[in-house]
Amino acid sequence: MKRLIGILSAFVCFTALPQTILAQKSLSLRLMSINMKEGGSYAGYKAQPYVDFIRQYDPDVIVLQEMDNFTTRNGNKDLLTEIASGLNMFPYYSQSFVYQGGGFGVAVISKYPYYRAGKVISEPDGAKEPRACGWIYVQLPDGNTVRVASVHLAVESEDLRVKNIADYNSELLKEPDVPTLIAGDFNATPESNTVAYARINWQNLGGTTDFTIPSSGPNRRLDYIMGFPKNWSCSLFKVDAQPGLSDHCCLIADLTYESE
Amino acid sequence: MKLKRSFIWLFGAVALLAACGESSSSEEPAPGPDPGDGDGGNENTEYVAPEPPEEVNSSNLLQLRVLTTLSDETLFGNVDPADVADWISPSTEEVLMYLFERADFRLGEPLPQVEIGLATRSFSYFVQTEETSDHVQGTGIVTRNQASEIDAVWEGPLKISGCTVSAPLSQPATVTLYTTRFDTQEQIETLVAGRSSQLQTSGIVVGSIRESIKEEVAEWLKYNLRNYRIAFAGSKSSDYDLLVLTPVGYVCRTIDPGTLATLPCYSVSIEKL
Repeated sequence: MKRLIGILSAFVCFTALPQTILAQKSLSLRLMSINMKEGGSYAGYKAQPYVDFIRQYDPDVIVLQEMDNFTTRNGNKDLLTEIASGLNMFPYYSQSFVYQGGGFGVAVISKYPYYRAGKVISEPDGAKEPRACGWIYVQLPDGNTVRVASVHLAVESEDLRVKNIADYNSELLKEPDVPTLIAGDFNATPESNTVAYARINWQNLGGTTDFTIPSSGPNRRLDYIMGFPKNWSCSLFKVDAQPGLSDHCCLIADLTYESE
Repeated sequence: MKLKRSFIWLFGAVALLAACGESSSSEEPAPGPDPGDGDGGNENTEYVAPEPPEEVNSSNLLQLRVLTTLSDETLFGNVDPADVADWISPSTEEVLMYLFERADFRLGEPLPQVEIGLATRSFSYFVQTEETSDHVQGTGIVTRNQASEIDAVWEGPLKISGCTVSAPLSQPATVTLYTTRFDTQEQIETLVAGRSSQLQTSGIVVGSIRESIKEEVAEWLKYNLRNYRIAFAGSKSSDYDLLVLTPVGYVCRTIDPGTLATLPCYSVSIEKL
């Protein structure tokens, strides 16, 4: 009897749960990535400059790094929700650690509601601080589901960054049928071990030749958008330097996932 | 993809053959959800939760506010979310979560729960109960407690999500507060099939249920879920009732109707036993 229950349960789970995902054929979305540089310091911790900049691209999802939440330096306010409010979009915050009376972490903002969300905090031995990777699941208007994650890897060493990715992979790769994007500040150049390790499972989208830092005169690349499974294509990849918003350039990409 | 579909059908055929074979040769009771720990028992017997202590431990209460018209109308209508925020700001500290049922999403328009979250220095979430389009029905959530995870069951007729938060009780407890609107018993059955374990341990459902199905659902749960408690509030004239479904380790102590700003609001207190 127990065996029968097990078989039926497995059958129900296998058929019902991922059905919408398995049925997916293709999905498209516009993604932006913005490193907020110390919680928005370059813009004086004001929301409106970010709102104005984001609005001109009309993205579906924005991933943000170095996001403060009620810190002393940002004036003890929720800049993420201010930006989301200005855009009439849904905010999701993933705190990496407590900082200046509030929090510091990564975030995602979505034009459409997200129905599921999560995060992993990676803090390998030797790391100076924990690093969160936060993600949301969004059903797009065409019925397809996409998962989008915001990431900011360790600054200290290649070894730690690789361990960060391994920690995030342990959760994000559990559901191989969910088209997933991970984007943000990898703190690593294209030829690094970090990027090589990431590319074992993730498809680098947007190439490697566009420099993303510093915004005042980009001379190297630290920011990426990567997709999983490796069935993504990128019809637009733009690096927009906004020295008034961040030391990193912002990434804008039009991405399409085609199931096999 | 074709290979996966073929595998699903093959797997289904094997499972059904196995089911037929076993059911014809076995006299065991029909399969039900895992009874989990606690008093367990035969799935075909009626489950009755033990009586909770009479005395309420006020330091172990989860306070919720559910703003709902218990109807098919949108919640805010002509009410400005900023007015609601003004009312809830002073009492936010003691309330774990505000639920705004039918705070529907319209593409490109202000989102009530985001505006209220901003004004009250709280986190905001949204539980959609429909497929995504330019207009989506759902429940806005505002809470001071950052959700560590948003869990969801999106299967068949059911779309339900829940915020996992650390509740500030005398002994901090991690709970997942799910919400949705139940129009059919099938939705409840899907929830129990997908989250039986959570519903008996750390998953609390605070939502609404169509008034005409609540008795059937209550009866069905007695034989298909263990270790739970259920409470309803509403009236015969309302389309929906408020539903509070907790693990047996919790008990809904009060559901008090009232108003917040000009919106109907139920004050719900749930005690962790």
